[in-house]
Amino acid sequence: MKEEDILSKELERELELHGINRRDFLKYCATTAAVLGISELEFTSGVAHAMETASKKPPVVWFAGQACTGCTISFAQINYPPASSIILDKISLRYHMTVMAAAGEVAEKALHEAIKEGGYVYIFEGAIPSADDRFWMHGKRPGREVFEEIAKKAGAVIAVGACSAYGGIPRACPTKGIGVGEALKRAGINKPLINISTCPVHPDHLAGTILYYLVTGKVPELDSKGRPAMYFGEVSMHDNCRRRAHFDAGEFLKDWNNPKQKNWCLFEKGCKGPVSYIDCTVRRWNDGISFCLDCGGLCQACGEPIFYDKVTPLYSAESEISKKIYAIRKSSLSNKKNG
Amino acid sequence: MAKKITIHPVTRIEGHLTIEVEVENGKVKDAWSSGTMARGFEAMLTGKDPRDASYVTSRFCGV
Repeated sequence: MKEEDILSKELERELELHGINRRDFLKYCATTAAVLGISELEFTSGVAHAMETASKKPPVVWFAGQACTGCTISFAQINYPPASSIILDKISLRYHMTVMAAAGEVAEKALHEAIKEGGYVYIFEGAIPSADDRFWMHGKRPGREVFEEIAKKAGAVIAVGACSAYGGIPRACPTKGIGVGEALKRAGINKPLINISTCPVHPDHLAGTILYYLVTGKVPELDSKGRPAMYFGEVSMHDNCRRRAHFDAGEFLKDWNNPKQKNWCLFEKGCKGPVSYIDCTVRRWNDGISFCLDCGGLCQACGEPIFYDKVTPLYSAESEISKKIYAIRKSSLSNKKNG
Repeated sequence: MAKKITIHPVTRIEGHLTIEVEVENGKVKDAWSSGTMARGFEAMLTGKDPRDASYVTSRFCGV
């Protein structure tokens, strides 16, 4: 017990440093464990009843491959509705390595039980390495194998984040990460798939899609890239950019130190807004406080399949995509002159 | 006789971690920890514009 006390104090200090109330943190973990219905299930019959009621909610399995868990964190930041209320009240989260209280065998048991039941919503975060299975191992097994095993029994698959949707940054890495759509195709698995790209996933996009599925039991309408049409594919970042007038006037920021240019178009600095069809400009981030373009940043089209290998270098107009945008810009300018 | 305890996965962390502990007569004799996922960011960033590094390396860990 003594050792535990020392550990708790250390952990408490650690959590305090990060502004987290330890009690709330543990309470959250414990409640999640109850919903997960794992270790307790074996020892207390009371929890078994709770588990029964929990299992009537749509089961969800959240699994991660070549991920940074940034999508989980992004989702956890959501306030309306709070992530905890979705996890605790609306769905039955069977497996999530970052939030579940159980570890080791008990955690794996929860996963296997969920797979046995089948029909769950499978949320996947991160890419799947295609160069060599050993780049991602789940215990002694290749992660790809486990990924396919879970996918085979899923009712629907949601790929969250750029890595999971199209490969994202891991696609440019030596491990040659691929997205869920590609991985399912290679394994010959046919399941309804929703890509919710952007790096990280937008909490509203994910919560909205989950809630849509809960209410209607259907996959929402998707755009040509497999993303929910209610969030993607309609208007480009460029169309709603507040620097747009300067683009049309041919005024491009070349020198950050020149106050005269401070509101000019950031295309020359590497902005990929014209090919980025995401609703950031209206939805914004961090509870609608701001987003990349509103804090002097550039759009890197993180929700598009071109991210990241085709948009690099990020901060100059020398990428493959920037050259394409440049060609479009040139032709539109010459059309204007002729017209 | 030494007993080997394997904890996989280690949860409430970012990433994929396995811990193996060898216990003999109630004492830890040896222990191993393995991160079982790699992406190769370092190798990928070689030759890239240095300004890319801040954007990409922030995706090492999102927690």
